[in-house]
Amino acid sequence: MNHAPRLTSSQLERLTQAFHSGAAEGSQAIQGWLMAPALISIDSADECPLDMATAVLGESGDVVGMCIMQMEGTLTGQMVLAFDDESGLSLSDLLLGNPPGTATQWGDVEISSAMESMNILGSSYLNGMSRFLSEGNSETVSLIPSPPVFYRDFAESLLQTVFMEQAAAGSHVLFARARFELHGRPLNWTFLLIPDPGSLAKLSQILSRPGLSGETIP
Amino acid sequence: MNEPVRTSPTLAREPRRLSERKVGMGEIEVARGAFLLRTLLGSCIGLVLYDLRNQVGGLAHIVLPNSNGQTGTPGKYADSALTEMLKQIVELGGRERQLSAKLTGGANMFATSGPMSIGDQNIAAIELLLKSAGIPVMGRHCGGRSGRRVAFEVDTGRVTVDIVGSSPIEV
Repeated sequence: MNHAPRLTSSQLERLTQAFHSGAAEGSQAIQGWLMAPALISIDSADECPLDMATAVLGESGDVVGMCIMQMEGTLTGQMVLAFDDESGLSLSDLLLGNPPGTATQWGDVEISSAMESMNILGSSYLNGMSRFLSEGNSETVSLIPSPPVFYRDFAESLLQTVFMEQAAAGSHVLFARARFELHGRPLNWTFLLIPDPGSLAKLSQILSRPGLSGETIP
Repeated sequence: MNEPVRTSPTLAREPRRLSERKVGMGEIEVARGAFLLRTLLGSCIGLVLYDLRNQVGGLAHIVLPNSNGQTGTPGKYADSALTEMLKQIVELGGRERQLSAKLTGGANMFATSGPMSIGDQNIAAIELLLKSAGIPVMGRHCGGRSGRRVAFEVDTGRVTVDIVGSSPIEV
């Protein structure tokens, strides 16, 4: 069995900076896509026990919508955009220029709106992360997004599956969580990035390389 | 892949006042008497064992098929979870020979193709272990692509499964 390494505090600090870099690029992209002032901010980037991670979306028995993209390339893992029905459907209304509350159930158009938003967000987020992790290094850290897929199910059932790879490798899971604001008001959307266990070892090496922004002198 | 096996729809009945406990990923809960044990499952398995005569039972939320000798979290793996549950049930007054099992979960949530999904591997591992232990499986609701909310009444052995968009099912 593959045992995932735990990151040191300085590695976690640098990883958080990489996540911030992804969030900054994601904010710009989603702002252009929604044509509205939007902000994505990193809420946390941490390692925590599995049972805490599966409760990250709140009430575990709530039904949520979730768009999932794979992260491929130098590092692999998954990206998740999760929302309750009301918040997800409001995204569709916003994109189609409809008054809030027009969309009341998940049809093809609403699912397509969510997936396209995830596509733009996930791709730009990975670009930002890749740029940060490649700084000062001869080798580019290449992060390639897959097309998104939409699911609607119990929050905990979906998260268990998302965290399964890391759960198989250890008792703690590492992930970044971002929150959203639109027109200065918080949105009930959550973005997660979950590296797989094989990538944690690579990530540990990358984050230890000299030349990376935020490097502190030991 | 195991397709969901649907048993009878839940019949309306008087709500009962039961003490509740939630069983998280990789955890085991064992209780005696009027208890309701709950869990939420994706590809994981909910293994229910119960001794109706002594009203003792347990629910394990199993994540992976094999511990490969790891000992830290017995509820996480099918082999160690069964051993640990049997021990705890006997400690609470249950009798191994009187046990029955019910299985839920093991969904292939993200519809992976190719070799057996983790859900299918979990189901296969637990069924083999139960067979070796001589514990009959009295009901199951496994496989498919949806998550499940599971509730187990310890004193009656009743297991109810909720799936998003479907009526509750009694296993």
